Amino acid sequence: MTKKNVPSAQPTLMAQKALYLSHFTPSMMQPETLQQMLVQRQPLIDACYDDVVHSVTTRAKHHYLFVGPRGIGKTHLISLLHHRLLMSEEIRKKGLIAWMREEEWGVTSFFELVLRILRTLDQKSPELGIAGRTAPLYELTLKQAEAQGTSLLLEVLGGKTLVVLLENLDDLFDQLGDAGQRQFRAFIQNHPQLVLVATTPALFAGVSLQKSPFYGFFDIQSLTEFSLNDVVDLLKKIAVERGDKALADFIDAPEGRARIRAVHHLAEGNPRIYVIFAQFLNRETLDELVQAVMHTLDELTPYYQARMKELSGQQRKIVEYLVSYRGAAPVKQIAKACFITHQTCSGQLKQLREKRYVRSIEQGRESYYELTEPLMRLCMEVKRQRGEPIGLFVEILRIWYTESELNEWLNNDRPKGTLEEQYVRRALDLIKTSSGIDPILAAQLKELSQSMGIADKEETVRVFDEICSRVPANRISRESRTMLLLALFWTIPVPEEKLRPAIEDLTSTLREAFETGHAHLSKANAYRTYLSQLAATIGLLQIEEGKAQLMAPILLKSLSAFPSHAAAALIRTVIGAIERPATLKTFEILFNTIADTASEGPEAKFGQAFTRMFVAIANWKTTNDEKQLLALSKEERSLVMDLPPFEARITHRNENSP
Amino acid sequence: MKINPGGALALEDIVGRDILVAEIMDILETQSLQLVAERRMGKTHVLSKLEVQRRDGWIMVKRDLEGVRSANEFVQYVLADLHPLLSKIKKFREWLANLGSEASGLKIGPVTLPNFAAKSWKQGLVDTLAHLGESAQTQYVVFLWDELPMMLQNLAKTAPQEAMELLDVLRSIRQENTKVRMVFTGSIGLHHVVRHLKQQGYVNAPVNDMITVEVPPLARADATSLALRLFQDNRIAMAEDAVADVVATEVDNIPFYIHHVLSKLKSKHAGSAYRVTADDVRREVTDAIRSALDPWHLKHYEERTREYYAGDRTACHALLDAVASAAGSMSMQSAINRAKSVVPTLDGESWLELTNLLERDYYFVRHPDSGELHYKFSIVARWWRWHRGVSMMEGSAA
Repeated sequence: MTKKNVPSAQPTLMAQKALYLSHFTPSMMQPETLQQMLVQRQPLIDACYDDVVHSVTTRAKHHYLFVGPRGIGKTHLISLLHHRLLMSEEIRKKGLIAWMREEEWGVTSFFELVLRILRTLDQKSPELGIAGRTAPLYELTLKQAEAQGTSLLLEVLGGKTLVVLLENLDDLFDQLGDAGQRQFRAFIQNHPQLVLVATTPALFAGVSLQKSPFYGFFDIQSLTEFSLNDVVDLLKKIAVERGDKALADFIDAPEGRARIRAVHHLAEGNPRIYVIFAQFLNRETLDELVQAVMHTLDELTPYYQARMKELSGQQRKIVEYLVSYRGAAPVKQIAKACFITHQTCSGQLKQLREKRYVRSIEQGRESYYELTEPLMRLCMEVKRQRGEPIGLFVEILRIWYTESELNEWLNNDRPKGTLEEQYVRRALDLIKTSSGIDPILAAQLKELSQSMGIADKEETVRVFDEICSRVPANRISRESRTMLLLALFWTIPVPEEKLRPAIEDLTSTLREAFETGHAHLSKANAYRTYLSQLAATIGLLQIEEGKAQLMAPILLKSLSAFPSHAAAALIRTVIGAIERPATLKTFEILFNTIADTASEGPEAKFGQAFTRMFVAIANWKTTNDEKQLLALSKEERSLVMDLPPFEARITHRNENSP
Repeated sequence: MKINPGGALALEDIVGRDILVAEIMDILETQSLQLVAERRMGKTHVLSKLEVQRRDGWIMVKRDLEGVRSANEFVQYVLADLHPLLSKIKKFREWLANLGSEASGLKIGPVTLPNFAAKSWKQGLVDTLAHLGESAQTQYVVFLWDELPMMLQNLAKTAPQEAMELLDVLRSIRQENTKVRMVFTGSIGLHHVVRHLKQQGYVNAPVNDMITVEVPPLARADATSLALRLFQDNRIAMAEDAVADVVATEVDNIPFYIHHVLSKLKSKHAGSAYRVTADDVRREVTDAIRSALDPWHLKHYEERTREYYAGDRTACHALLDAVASAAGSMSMQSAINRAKSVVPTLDGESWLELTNLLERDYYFVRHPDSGELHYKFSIVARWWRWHRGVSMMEGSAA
């Protein structure tokens, strides 16, 4: 039996490549790879590069500060910028570059910063002979050395401009203190030969308080989380980098995109998590999954643990709650969960915000708080789970792979009892025990709702295509999918060919959906349920009119449970159909079929309710007198008044027809 | 011209300040001055333009003093800045050589300057500047000292006596040395530093011989011209040229914010076929003002009242709320009456003093004829209204 956490003896070349990428130390990567992996930020880095070159070749100085949580891509940008600057002829002639690594901080004064810069320059350009010229400084007193140090730096620069790349500027400024920052700024003002490009996890007092020396000094660029398109772009590039064309094609296809979307909301747009996620994309690299993932998290965990130690007990409780909550929570909720008063909670959250652990989102009068760093959540979960599979990655596995794919992996010849196997088994359990809508469809529904809300037709059609292309495994998801596809069919411009090939499956699933819906019907959900059922039925009949006879009985059975609600839903559907002439004909077919079927028994009650309500509305609209609605029961009146406003165009075919 | 919000501009890119610079040069013929303005208004860039002014016999010396930690260090920098001129004078060289027994300080080329002992920095300063009299071709030496108030504030924390003495000796030099002119400027008002020193026993009026010149926002034409140039040079298309004027108006002609707005527009539209409209501009400005992230750091106007107004902060906010509630201007009495409903106990004189302080600190201005109050900067008024939930008065335009 192989011990847990022991990697396979000989990782494949693909696994090695994947491992390399998943470690993702940008400062050690080849510039071509860095450029290839760049997503979303090409315009930003081009602008920054242009401005730095301009700053080196003219008297203008344009300083940049990139802001974003861990894993957002700051070091990637700085690394790429560094490489590009090294290749620039203009920079070579008129500039020098000092890339100050984050590990170098331990400076407590401006003078020490100057020494570090000199040392960095010496390492990169020994021909400048800096080491020999700094040596005498150590023979002087601190005061004397301070005076000489800056003179030396200016001598070394000569007429050139120094580009200083600084990571974790917030830490540096903390250590410099106010006095050191002032000296630094004064030096830059008095000797305009420096241009700074810096990074920080979040804005801090040193740049955002008006009384701070560097207030307004930087062009602050916040790095934003990746959108879905960015993620797809990145994962395709990683697949290409690995030489896996099949994977790249799959990522581009609707099915692949659908799965990535489902992962997207888990990863909160953080690029580092996606690079980890790239480990999951190929079943061969799944063998190295845990090692790669844990390595990345192991690197980050001490940092987050140290940060947590800075917090008071109450603050730690709040952070731990937000870690487990996964989303933005209002103050009241956080206070309740942490057993502290609202006022105390507010005060602690304000401090946490200033310390950059949380950010607030204003919605109306209420403030919601969420963690600023998704990677912190992951690291804390690792610590909490103590060797157990991490929830996020189990969910990702469950989303990305089908049940049969995971079973196939398990059944292959490989060492048993590994942590990888635990992950796969846990994912399979999740698939089997989950009773709700599957996460991929859930993510698609959310996206659809958003795109329709902002009338983004292109995105709506794209998501519709995705939903078409994938049939979920569990019954509830299949039924929801069918209802949605058919209901949308007559509201968005989708060619019939998208659904026609699956018409039989759609019809049978629709019938199942009606059975399920009927079993869960209540007065509270009847109106909404009936609207969906009617919309889906119309969609079906638009594709094939002949299905009307098949659907009518089962539809009527459902409508008869709450006839007044059903009648109101039917009238609402009429209002919608009237606005779409193409649908009107289909609606008439449905209506006539229902009318023919609803002649006796409980179904007749539905017919009677419909007639009653329709006549009342017609009289009301004709006379403009609401008292006409008194012919209805209180419940029916309420349902009618909830209908959207409409102009009635009432015609009578003959005296004997309603 | 590149978009560069907050950065150091090349001289040729500093627009709209030539008239001001010329006015300052004229003033310097007769006296020294303080250059005052809100932060980010461009004081340092004005100093940069002054530094390169060429007049026969005038030497312009510019230095940022915020890193200076002692009077001794200050004097060393003065010596360093004058060394290129004075080193040609034999008497100066002899004087400097006689000081050589002191511990070494700054090094300029092969020359190491002396470190003045604690009590002799004043004499060192006076003597250094006295040597200017020996430079026949020098008419004036103009010291352009940026962040002098900040330096004094830092000194005052550890050595308030030194700060007081430095102010006094500088005044004395201005009175007695006809070749010396000084321009003070900085991100904090010198009056705040002096007020703090007075609380520690300082009784003098150290700058009553200096005229105060405000660096205003750009003239409307210059602001529009700046915006237009930034649009064109950065390949951001406009629906019409009037869009540049809208940029200028929306941000009160303040160049720092003009750069910011264009920076946002550039990130969205540079190089594309899209033509930016006036509404796009208004939207960017509104978004920046209303954003909870406060990208333009306008919250500072609220935060700094804690430091500037201490015990009167509530009253101060009440006045600011009152004036913000009017779309246009409001009479001082109306504003005070409204504010009194929040702080009824403050007496009339205190309200008047508070109003004056708010004027001096760039919150309010008074209409030259009616004397009515309104916010000096519309972006501040808009921020104040939005983030403090101040409702506009009935009858006011939204």
